[in-house]
Amino acid sequence: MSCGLFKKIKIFFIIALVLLVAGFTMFGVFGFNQPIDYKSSYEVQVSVDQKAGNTTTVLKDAADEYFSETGIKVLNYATQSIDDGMVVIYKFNSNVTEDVAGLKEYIQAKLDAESNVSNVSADVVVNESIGNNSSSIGKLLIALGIAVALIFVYSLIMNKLAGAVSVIFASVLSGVMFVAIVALTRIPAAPFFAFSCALSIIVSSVLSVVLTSKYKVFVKNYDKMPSSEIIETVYNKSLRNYIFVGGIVLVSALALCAFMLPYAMFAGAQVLVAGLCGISSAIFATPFMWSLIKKSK
Amino acid sequence: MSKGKSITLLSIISVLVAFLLVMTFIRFPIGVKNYNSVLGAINLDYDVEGGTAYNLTLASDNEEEVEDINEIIDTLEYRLDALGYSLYSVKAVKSTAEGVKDYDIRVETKSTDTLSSDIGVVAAHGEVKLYGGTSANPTTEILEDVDAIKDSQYLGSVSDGETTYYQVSISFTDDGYDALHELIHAASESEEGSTSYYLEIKLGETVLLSGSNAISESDFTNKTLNVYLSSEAGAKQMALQIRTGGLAYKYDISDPMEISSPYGDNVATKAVIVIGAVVAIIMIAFVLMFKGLGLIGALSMILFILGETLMLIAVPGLVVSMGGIVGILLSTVITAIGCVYLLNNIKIEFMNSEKTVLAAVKKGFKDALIPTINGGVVAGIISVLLVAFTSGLAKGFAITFGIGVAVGLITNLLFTRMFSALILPLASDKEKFLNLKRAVK
Repeated sequence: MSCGLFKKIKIFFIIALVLLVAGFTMFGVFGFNQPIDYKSSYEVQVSVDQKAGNTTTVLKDAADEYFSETGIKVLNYATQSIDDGMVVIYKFNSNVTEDVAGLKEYIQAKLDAESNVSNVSADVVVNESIGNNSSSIGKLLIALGIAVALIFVYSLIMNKLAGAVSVIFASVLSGVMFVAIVALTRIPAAPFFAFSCALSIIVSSVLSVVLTSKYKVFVKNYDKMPSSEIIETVYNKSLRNYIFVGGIVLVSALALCAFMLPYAMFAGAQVLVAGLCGISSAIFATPFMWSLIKKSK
Repeated sequence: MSKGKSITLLSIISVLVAFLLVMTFIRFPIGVKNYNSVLGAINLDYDVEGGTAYNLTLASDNEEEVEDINEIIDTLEYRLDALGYSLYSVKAVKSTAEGVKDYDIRVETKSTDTLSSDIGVVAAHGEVKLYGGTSANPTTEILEDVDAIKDSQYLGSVSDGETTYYQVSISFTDDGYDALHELIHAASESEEGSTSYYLEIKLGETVLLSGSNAISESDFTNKTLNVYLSSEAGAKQMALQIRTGGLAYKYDISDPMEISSPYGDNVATKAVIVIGAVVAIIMIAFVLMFKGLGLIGALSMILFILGETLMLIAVPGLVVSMGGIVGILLSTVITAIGCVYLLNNIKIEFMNSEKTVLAAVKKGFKDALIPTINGGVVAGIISVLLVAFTSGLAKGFAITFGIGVAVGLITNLLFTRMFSALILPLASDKEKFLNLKRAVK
């Protein structure tokens, strides 16, 4: 294997090892970080008993102003519309009962100051909430396990043993790297973890399958070329493609962040991590394993 | 292909694509009605467009104290899954005010025609009891000391030509069947003459299986009674309630409340803008990287996004969630990656051989065929398995991603080739147009 690519592969595996150790240690101690709706949290429900005039707008604006002025950080909110009023539910990590002691009076004062509504009552209730706790990790692992087995069989038929083992090695490495990085960086896992993990495996296996197909073409056309030269040649020819793929993944992640919504940003961060894990595994782990198996033969 | 023929075909395709783009993305009035575009016809899930919420509050006459609220949440989630709801939120909330010890439960999900009755089923209280007798709508409880029912499943629709019915199978335990069989037999052999036997199944005061029709031993197959209902929702509800019974605690169900998306405001509009922007960036990147070749790729991407959007309404029952939106975005990315691979193949083929432009293009497509199909198959395998084994957002992602990968394969293998065949005859200097260069020797 040439010095240039070998050095890069060595650096990749060192970084991957550090990330895996650190990430799984973090996971073992703290588990995944979960967003507000997927763990025990607190919520403040502010409501009015009328929809007349711009009552509902005043309600939300007044509550937003109060939180802003008092420095209380709102993590997310949702609105509920009822026949005779509206409820806005603000979500928090900690118990804010004392912090919102003056919220009801504040909102009522704002409503009373509105000239086009009368006899409007505001109410504030602080609740402790237990979030969605269902997990689909078990089913995800089954689906991905079967997928890896089927991809192995398919690669074995199309690209022979070296190709098949390389694809599986890169795909599995990509998946575990994704889990480790999400645990390490504390990116909120739910609710997108399942498909982001699948995405890291998809990107890695698709790129690896294409790579090993190219190796197979080279082996067929240049049977005397050593495996190290084959992977170096394919790497150099494909570098532009990898940069483009990385750029597109970055654009997609930024696109999700452009929603300017908390959950979309979590999805964007996970897509970026998944994409980078998939691409790096395919670029470095696939040729490493492929040349290892070729040399052992 | 001659220049004239190319121009004619390109013009026809352009008009067709422009028409489809307008019909897909633009809303406009037609007379007194409004055309809402294909985009407007896409079915969105509750996490994108909002839905309906119900609050469940412990009834004042609830007898048992709630021991484990998490168990109730799990039960409600299981029942919502069983009734076909893929995305929902079930949360227990308790006021922090002093003296409050019971949790209320808030259920949020997509608004459907049957949601109100479904929530009633999901939160129903009581035990499943069987009533039997020789007159219709019996009131005598039977099989009290026997665990009579083993399982109950919704089996799907059956048709007798004109009318469609929805089948529910109720499987009895050995003891339950034997005891019921004795009662039916006793009725048929009674001293007053053969009489029919009527069976009614209730959950609390709610009638699940009506006792207005007589049953006989011939209605059972392998200790299973098949029942046919006229509504699918009713059949699913009956199967679920007989199988799982009611909650151990009695809850009052609030009036429905309209709720916003849990992810924020205008999620659907933002999704369209963002995906459109990503496609535009990809198209610009293609043209900048590959010049004339990139133009071919860019035109194919337009057809890809049209095809993907049309498939979202063509696939029956498809509901797009946030996971689905991410699936559409990422399948666009995968298709773009496939297209780049294809175009690069053509460039490398021309660079490293003495072939003409047309021969290099043909060879480039041919060499890219197997790897492109390989990539599509791998992505497809994972998508299919995710659809089969997961639910909620992951399933939504897998469905739109899988559809996108399939449409992307057709785009890269068919449309790109079509555009290259149509556009190349128009270029007088094909090498310059496609920005192809020979390798320096």
